[in-house]
Amino acid sequence: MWGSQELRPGARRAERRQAVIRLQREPIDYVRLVESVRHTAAGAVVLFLGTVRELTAGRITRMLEYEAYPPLAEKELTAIEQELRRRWQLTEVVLVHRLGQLSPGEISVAVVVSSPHRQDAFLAARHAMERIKQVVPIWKKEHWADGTSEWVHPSGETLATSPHQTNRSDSPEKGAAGVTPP
Amino acid sequence: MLVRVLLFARARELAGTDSITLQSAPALTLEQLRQELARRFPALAEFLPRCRLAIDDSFADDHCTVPPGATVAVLPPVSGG
Repeated sequence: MWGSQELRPGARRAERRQAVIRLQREPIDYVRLVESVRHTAAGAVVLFLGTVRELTAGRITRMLEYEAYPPLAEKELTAIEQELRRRWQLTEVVLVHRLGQLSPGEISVAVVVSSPHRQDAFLAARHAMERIKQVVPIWKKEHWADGTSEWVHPSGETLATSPHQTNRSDSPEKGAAGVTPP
Repeated sequence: MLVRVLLFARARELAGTDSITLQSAPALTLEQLRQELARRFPALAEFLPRCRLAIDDSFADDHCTVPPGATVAVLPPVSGG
């Protein structure tokens, strides 16, 4: 967690702070999160936001409801953060997921990483997001505009825990083929 | 011994409760626990095989034995993000 003291952007010294790993019911203040990873040791900052999409396969979403098993979710998020740090050179890592009822356009998840170099930042942010969707015990329920609702429980991945099933084009060995800079 | 079971998302809704405390003989395996849950909550029986189980906040295989007083979580396929 960061303190409340204001730091000049980019003026942070080289001490490492604890990663921000959090489930929260309040809206995600992504500007503050981005500022929190900026650092003089970092030449790159990558932000990924997951936002509630209004249209899925022609159906209109009225609201998404997120639920988690917090003790295990936080443990798995911490494991992802540690995996990111093993695989890429990172300065700061922020993984925040929102819980509760979200309307279209609202931010459900934020991944923010800073790194000395852009390649590591892009790859780490992408991998973090893939892992969050695969292993962290968080669930969403679609509430459709027509009044129906259903839990989203993807089939075929109940046992998807081994890393080889989850690494796709985002592994550093394969280079950055799957990542397109803005 | 007592085992507390937590249910989430669709598993919670199918069971109609978010938690249950079971009285069981010692050396209960997760496989046996699954059978007991399916017996108590017939509506959950079909969905349960798709769920992973965790003992005291760690994912566990079905052959694992549940320690006395443990908490077991029933975790449907995840869909965060």
